[in-house]
Amino acid sequence: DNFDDDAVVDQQSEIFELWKMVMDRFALPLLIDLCDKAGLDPPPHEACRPGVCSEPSPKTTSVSAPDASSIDAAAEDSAPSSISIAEDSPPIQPPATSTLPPPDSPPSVLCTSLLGSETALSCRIMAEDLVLDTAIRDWVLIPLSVVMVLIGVLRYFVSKLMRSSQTPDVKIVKEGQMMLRARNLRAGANFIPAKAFRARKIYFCNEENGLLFVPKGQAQNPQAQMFSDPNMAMDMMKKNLSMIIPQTLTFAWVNFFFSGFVAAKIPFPLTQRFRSMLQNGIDLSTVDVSYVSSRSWYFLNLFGLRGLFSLILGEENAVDDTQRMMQMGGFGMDPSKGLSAEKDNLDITQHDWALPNFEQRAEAVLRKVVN
Amino acid sequence: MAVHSESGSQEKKSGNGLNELLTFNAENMQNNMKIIYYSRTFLSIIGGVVAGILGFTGLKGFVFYLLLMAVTSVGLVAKAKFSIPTYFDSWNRVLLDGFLGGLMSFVLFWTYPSLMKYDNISEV
Repeated sequence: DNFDDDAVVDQQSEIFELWKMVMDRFALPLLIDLCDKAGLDPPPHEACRPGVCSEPSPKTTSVSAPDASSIDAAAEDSAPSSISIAEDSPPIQPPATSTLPPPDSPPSVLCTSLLGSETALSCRIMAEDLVLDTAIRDWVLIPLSVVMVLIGVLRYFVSKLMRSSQTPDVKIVKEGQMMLRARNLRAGANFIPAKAFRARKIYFCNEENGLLFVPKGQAQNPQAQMFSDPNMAMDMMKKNLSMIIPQTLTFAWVNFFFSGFVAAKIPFPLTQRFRSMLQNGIDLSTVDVSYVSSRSWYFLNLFGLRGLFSLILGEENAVDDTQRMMQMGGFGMDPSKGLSAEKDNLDITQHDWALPNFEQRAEAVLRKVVN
Repeated sequence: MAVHSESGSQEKKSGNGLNELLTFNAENMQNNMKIIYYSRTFLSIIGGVVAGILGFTGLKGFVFYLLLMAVTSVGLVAKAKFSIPTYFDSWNRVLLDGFLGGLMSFVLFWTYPSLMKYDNISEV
């Protein structure tokens, strides 16, 4: 009995192989070619059974009309939209890509050997390689990049125009300058005589009337002032908005129009965990993680174009708000915590008179000059 | 127009480098940092396009990026005539600054040449 079962199984597998060979090598390519030459629609994808037209070799050729169906039910939904004859004009519809056979399909034979190379239709679909349509590139990727560059430039110019000239408060400027003086003193402490340094230190840090000493009650003043001053608040709001609004709008635009298809292939592979992040519109679970949706193309552009902006827009980079924060700090708008921090720093500074080392420095310089 | 030249710009001296009593001219230091940043960004963009054209994938591309950054560092150090303390306050700035920002630009421009491989599948 065992022997009978084995024989039956062997026969079944042989018949299956034969069927596969005839189907793959002869019938299906012939059908496709006939349809193509007659100008008819290609055979529906149900004609390609699972396991057909797949070959796990590392090379691939281009895939056009026939799409091997996959087992997923989800893929069934998206597969009809990826059948070859795609519309060219409306960029909203996902253009033609090729779907994949499931990766666990039984290895089968080549389909091209029968047809030879005169026809461009070949059935060697690799489980790894998708060929994407130029329509995707022309209508999605390049416009998205161009739009983002233009929005960055526009934002830069708009922020330049909208920068209201604010007259800085005298008190704040004074405090800022004082902090600069204290910082210079700290930096150059070793180049002035000890007595001079001490005198200056006392001038700054004296408990009663030292310049840096701010009683606790007034400590909050500059900060509160900064926020209650309508001009400054408006400015900060304007700057924040000018950054957030274009990003939000572009993101919504990308999501609305360009979702649901594979947009680009990033050149490096990521792990499977990134799949949900990078391929959010694509419902196939067998597509390589390198193939990303247009949302991730948007983010890639968002981060990658910052460097480009800094090059073409000069020093003013509209995206980098940390730089703007630093600029604001230069005007002395630090909260008065800065003052007490300066005071503490100055208190700590020791005086290490550099004069004795000058002789060695002079010697070194002279040696260099003479030699 | 922004600074494109990493060779044409002047790096200004910002420290006296002879002993440990270093004083820094902040403005010149900032200028030097800006030059480093521009150099790295520009080279990462160019390097990204080159990597895409040469068809690097995966690890090879990142290794290429590291090589690129190393070459940039060597170039900057050579331009500073190997006396880093004269121009910068620490070695780390020369070697590591702008590394990550350049990485994102590199990846973006690495992807661009692969767009050319798109094939005209849909026949009208």
